Amino acid sequence: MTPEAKELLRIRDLSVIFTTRERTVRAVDSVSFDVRPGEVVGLVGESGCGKSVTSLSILGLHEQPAGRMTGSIRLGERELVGASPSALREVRGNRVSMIFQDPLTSLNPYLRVEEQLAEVLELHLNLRGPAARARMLEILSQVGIAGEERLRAYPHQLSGGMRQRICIAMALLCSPELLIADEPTTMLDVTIQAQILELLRSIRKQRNMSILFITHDLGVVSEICDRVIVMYAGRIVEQARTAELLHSPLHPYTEALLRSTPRVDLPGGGSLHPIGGLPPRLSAAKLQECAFVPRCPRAREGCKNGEPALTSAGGERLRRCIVPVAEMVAGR
Amino acid sequence: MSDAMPLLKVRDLRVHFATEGTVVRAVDGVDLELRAGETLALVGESGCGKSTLARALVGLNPITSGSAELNGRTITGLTRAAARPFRRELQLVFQDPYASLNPRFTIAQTLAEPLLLHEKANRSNVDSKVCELLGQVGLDPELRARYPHEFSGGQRQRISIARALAVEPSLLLCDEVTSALDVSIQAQILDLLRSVQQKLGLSYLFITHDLGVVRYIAHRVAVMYVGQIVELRDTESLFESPAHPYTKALLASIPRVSQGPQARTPLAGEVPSPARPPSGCRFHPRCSLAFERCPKEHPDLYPVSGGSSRCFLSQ
Repeated sequence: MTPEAKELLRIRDLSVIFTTRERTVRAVDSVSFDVRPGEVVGLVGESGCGKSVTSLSILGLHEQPAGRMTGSIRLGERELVGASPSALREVRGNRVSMIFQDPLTSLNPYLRVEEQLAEVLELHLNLRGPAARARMLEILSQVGIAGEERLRAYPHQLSGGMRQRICIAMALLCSPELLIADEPTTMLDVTIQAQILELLRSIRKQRNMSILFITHDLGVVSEICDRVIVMYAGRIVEQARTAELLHSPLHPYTEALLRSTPRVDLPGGGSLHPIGGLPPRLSAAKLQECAFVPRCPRAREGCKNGEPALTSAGGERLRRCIVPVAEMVAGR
Repeated sequence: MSDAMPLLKVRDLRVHFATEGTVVRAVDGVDLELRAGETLALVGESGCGKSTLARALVGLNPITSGSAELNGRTITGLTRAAARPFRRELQLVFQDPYASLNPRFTIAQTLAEPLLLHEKANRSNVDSKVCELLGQVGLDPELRARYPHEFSGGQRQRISIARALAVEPSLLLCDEVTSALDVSIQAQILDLLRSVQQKLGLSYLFITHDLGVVRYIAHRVAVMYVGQIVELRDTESLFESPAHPYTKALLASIPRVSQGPQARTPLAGEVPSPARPPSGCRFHPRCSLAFERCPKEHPDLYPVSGGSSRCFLSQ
């Protein structure tokens, strides 16, 4: 986790364009970031900001007809944009695994837990019989499930938290270097969410595994992420270490997100400042102004002269804004 | 509690479902009161019975025993016809506004239907009533000829709220109304609900799993666990000094923006099935403070500052 460590995942200038009969949409626009070994990076933003499309791009999992990807996604030495299906298959599951929001739809309802785990072991590691079974029990105990009985269960017989543990177990079977977690705790109750976050933290420590953690919940970010990337309208608007971002946001959108979240730790839930209006409707055209201008309380004339660039704000901090929020927020 | 007669009074309400030889005690002896103009939040984890309770109050779930009164008149155990006048008083707003709006009705049709049905408008003034309702929830009346799919999630939720307000209810049952929305839109809807309440003096029974939202919007909070209320407090008392060990655990498991990673021991295990509630105190198998009395006796709700708590330690 030292800043010098060589990155595991290196995304440069990634754009994803979807074409439907009616229109063309640039869902991800020139996104660049790194994930280093053992690091947990949060990808944050509201519905439609491009966070899930970015993560699906890494595994080439877009819906068909696929969104057209340009730019570069490197995993170690391997380029994934334009990689052949067989090359991608080698990466999926082996080097990069993914867990999703709804564990019930990611498990096959007709197969027992045992059969689903066995399939992964046979396909990826060529393990069968007693060796496979031993590996299953080992991995289940790592995710906090005491064995045999659960192996014979069908997904519907398990609780939501238990199902997500099974999905995590399945993702860990091949010891991936990177785990992509797309809103993995959003559907869970808070007490179960706390258990799953604790589990992910301990796994990351034990294995020095990297996690790309996609969420809309800034509280969850503070629990697990080392670094955070905030997306808006398909582009990165801010990047910072977690504590910096949460305590002194630089982009007005990040600030607005924080100020519109009701706070459980402040009397009266804190004061809420809703962001007026709606996120922009995406199109294929390049923007002529900052994407946040229509909703931005700090917008001024200069914000309409072309889209601001993503510039450094010292160290690893990046911001896409010409009138960044002053440091005065620190006391909040 | 209060000198004035409560708007809603629920006494020992039970909703049990019989399935294959077992009885699921989804709601198992709930007492609560709601005053006019008050927001009472109902919180708890999935399956604790909070939605079942709300649905039972509007007649969507059969009540096994107990009663509910609205303005002193019993609204449970009535025939359909006898219940109709009360239906108007209690309106439900759901989590998913897309599923609760008819996709083939324009917004004007959606809002006109309850207005005409409950005789809050007639053919000649219904259109101006519709416009008035849309204005009340912050939508442009010009949009009334459009269909639900032409609106965003937040706008649809505004339409659902407008439809509920159409019949001039005294109580809105809001079931996870902001859970499907992004935070920036959630804040808009919460502000709308607050201002509507101030203007019309409505009461809300507000069901949510988000305790940040609760602290923002509720006057009082009822925490449910396996079909029962385990703590009922003024909002600030609950958040400042939770009395029940379950409430403490629930509050401790919420990630907070202000704190960073917490070295906490998450509440172990899972919520027991309401088909087989544990003996004695229903929380005792997961409670770190449980002692010999807890598995043997069922605790009552004991008074604590600003409310009550179902724990022997609060006695």
